[in-house]
Amino acid sequence: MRRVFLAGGVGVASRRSPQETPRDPESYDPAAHLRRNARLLHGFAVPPDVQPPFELLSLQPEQTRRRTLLKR
Amino acid sequence: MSADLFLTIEEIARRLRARAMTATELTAATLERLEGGLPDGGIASILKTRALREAARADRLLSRGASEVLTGVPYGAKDLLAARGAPTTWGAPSYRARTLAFDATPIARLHRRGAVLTAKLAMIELAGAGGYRYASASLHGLARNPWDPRRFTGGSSSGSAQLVANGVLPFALASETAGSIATPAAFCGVTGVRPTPGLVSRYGAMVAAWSLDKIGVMARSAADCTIVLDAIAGSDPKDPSTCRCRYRPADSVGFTDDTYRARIGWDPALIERTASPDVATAVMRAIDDLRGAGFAVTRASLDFDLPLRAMSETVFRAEACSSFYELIHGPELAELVDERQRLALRSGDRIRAVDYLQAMRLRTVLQRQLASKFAEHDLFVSYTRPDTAPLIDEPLDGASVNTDLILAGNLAGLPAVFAPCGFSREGLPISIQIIGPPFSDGLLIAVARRYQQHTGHHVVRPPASPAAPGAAGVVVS
Repeated sequence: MRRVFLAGGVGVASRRSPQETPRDPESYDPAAHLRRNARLLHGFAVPPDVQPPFELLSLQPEQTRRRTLLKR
Repeated sequence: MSADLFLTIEEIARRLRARAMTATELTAATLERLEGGLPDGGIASILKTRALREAARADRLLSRGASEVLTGVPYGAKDLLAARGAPTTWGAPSYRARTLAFDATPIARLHRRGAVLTAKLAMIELAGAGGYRYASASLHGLARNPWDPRRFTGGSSSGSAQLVANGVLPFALASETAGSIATPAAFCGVTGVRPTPGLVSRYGAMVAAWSLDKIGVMARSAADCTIVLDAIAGSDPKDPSTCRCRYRPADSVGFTDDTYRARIGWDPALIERTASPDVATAVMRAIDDLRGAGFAVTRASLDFDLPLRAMSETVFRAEACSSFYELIHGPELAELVDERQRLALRSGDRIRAVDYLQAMRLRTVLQRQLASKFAEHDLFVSYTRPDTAPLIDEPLDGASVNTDLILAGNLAGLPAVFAPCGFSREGLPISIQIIGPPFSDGLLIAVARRYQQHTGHHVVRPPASPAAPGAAGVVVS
């Protein structure tokens, strides 16, 4: 069962996340590493209304708000 | 002139105003130490001409009664920040000859306050954007830890931590994307601040990952960090990601009372489960010291049921591979020192858009988890690193260490302060981190400052470092 996060931010716990195993320094396989990361990431279901934290990509909340107001 | 090492910014300011020394004398003494090679692998370039010019200007300002505390104070900047006329290498061989014609905003702001830029400081190449296997992953060679030269300073802000720890510079500019202030500050026993994203302009800084990069400070105390942060923080029209929120230093009106009302949470289970015995002991003592300093510290959970490392790696690498696309797809890639870094950056093309977006959306989930935790506590305290500095030739990507709080703080855009809290039985520094919600920087530093007033770990000095003249890659201009 996958963990499901609600829009309000409180999750319905099902089980622990998959363990992130230590990397073997002598056998680094970039492709396998990316596949494992992707598997870990998609082991969590995120509701469609959850967007990326855009304020960390460019503008801070106050500026984002100002832009939104201008659009309206 | 023989100025004392290990002076704080405020001590230097007092001596300059008392005419016990001039800024030019202090700068000349600092340059002498830098050129003498006291720091070991921590210097990228020494800016002799610029430093002496800025020091002469500081002396003129001081003679006219300048009141700014940073006037005449020497410092260094991580080599990912542009400084007019100086090499800016980002720690990568491909950029060894590059000179930029402008100052990064934090450096320009320190110039306006009269501070003296003496050196660009060594860093892991490209801030370790691909992940790196060995401490040698830098144009500037191995950065040795002042507490034990057989050990690594930590990265990627290696030189910033080393030069502050060994007493040559009172403070240094550094940066953090996924732990580059936290780790070297902890391993070298200096105080570090990772500001809230948007508080300090990144104009003129290398872009590793837009959504993760922060410019911060390392110094010998939280009190010094607040002076520097106050100078460099603030809105910048050249960087649209800066916000209009001002940094509110600890001595603002009414702030002391707020500090004592702060509810601080800690997770004993996390420490018992993941920290080395020496780190656990030191952090437990720090919790007691915080209580002794007047704070209410109560139990909390800092468990995140999210794949933090996968989130961090995916976002960091995808953004870095976009930022460094030209380098990755050109002959310069082969010049990178660390093989793992080369392989990982090259593979960044294969990160799928859905994986990046999933990692980004999980950051929002993480922010919500943290918001619910901050409903009950104002701040959280834990170890910075669960271990101490590794041996310098040890593979760095083999160990399974828990740095979840560092990753969570960076992914969620939280500020943090990292402060020395004791030593291992081998004499290596151990550090606590205190994290808070966005724009709680002033409160965090105030708590750390109060902690340091009640303890003395931050003023303990490392054993004398052996001189190592002729450090690799150092340019004097």
